[in-house]
Amino acid sequence: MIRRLFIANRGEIALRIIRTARRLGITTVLGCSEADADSVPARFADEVVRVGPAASSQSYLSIGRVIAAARGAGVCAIHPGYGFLSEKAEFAQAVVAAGILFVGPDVSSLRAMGDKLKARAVAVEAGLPVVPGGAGATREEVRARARDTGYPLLLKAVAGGGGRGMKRVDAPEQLDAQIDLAMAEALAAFGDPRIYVERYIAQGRHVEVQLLGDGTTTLHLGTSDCSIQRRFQKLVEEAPAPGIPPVRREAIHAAAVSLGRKLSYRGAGTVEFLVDAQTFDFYFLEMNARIQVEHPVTEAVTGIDLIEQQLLVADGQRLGISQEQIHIDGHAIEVRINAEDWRADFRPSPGKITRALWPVGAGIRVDTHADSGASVPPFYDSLLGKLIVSGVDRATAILRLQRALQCLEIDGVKSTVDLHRAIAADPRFVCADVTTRFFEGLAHG
Amino acid sequence: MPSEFTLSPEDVADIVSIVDASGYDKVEVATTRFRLVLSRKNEGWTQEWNRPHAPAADAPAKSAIPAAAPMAEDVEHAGFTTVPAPLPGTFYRASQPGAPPYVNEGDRVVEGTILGIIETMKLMSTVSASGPGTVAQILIPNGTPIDAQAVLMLIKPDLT
Repeated sequence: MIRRLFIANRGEIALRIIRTARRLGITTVLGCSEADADSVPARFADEVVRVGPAASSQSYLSIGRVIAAARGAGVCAIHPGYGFLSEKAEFAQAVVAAGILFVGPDVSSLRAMGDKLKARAVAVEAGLPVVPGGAGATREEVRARARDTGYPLLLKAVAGGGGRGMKRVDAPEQLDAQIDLAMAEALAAFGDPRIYVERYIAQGRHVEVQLLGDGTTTLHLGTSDCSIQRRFQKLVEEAPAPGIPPVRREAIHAAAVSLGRKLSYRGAGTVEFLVDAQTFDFYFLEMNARIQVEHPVTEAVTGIDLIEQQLLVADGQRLGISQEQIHIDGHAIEVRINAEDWRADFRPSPGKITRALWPVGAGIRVDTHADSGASVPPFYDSLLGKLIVSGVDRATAILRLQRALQCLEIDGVKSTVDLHRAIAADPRFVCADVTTRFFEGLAHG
Repeated sequence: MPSEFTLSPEDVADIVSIVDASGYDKVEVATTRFRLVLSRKNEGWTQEWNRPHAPAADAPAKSAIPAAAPMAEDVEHAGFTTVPAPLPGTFYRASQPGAPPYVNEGDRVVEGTILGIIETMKLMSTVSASGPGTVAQILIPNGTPIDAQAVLMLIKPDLT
């Protein structure tokens, strides 16, 4: 039984973990940086240890300092939260070597999912579909890849990134000219002419499946949709993913569970898929081998406390639930409130919160460390808190979201509150007509 | 701290559902640890958590940033152009660890020459020279946390 838990994180997730630990009678020790000594989680934890100065490289990201602090505090387990060291196999290994329980998957799972190419290979072995594609070094090889991949497709430089040298090809007769162009550009830009061929999914959705495993059993807790993003960062998440035909939904669940079984997965993890918004074909993207920012939407529709399950499994216990006992009830939506000036290209806005009014009431959950008077240091990410609403159906949840956002007020720093008001009122969002290109079509006010 | 009284989110929701049915528009709960204000707003309720011992307005704000960095207004200009940090964050003189610094003292710069980068909330912003001149003095070492407007370096502008 875990009696003392070290929390190697900050912000809202640190507070979230403390809440469940407290309910379970576990003493919490927060390892925080100097910049967070007066934070809400630091005032809420049972004990606080300084792990280092403000810079995360010397505090939250320092394996040596975190382990030393946890050892000094005499804890029996470490919860890494998300981000920071949560998916670093090296950290998990050091925790175990120190004789402390790691609240997360086995080191082998972290290794398998930590590298994108490796994760893709493991997923293929587990029978999951991946975005069709592959690399070619000559025109003939690229042609062969294109035949296997199908149209429309994208040609990109193997050595490239950031969209440079990317070509869309809609039909076979355009292929040769585009290969020549793409190879020439790739050679000029990167000194490497190799081309990666990938199926182009024009209307993609980002759908993920929450898994729980104890090393023997793998359960799924349904889907969520995180399509509304900007620069690959999620802004809005909802569960279940709306408008997916039941047969397809079941297939997505089954694919995620196969991967969990393949890994003999322990703890909470999320399998992310790219789903074609028209055909509902789906492709494995990656697995997050940790608790996710958006875990409350799954909690809201299943009634399962994911942090509690993580702690149980870390403690060596079997999951206390079966697949038949998991029911998806109603609908939940989460919006991320960030300290960013979204009208100025999401420019970061650290500072001091002079006033924070968060909504409260039926069907509303707020996970935040931002109270009135809180400082928002420039050293960490910009998440101030999450507003999660739930209702019997999606329409009810959206109405609650719109009303709750009218009650939300953050003064002193710029925030994404009014961006979310615009999204919640956007007809495409209201009709669940949402793809990963949603943000491009949002009226910038 | 654990033994001290606190309110869970569920407690707060319960309080709201009780007062919602009443005619009250505002409830305050104050303990030695917090002050919670619940207020009716539009069609719902808001919660505001305040800190119990808020420092007096004239008390110096605690900052994780060392006080060593001079601010723009404190620096004697005397023929130099100051290069202020556009945002608070961490100042880096090179593009990545181990890379040579963008500029050293004595280097010639022109308008747009990159002088350094500032990491703010995981986002990198570049700091560039505003005009031609020579880097006279670099005031902030690599990897130092800085406030917005901290003077990073002094440039001796070319005489025009």
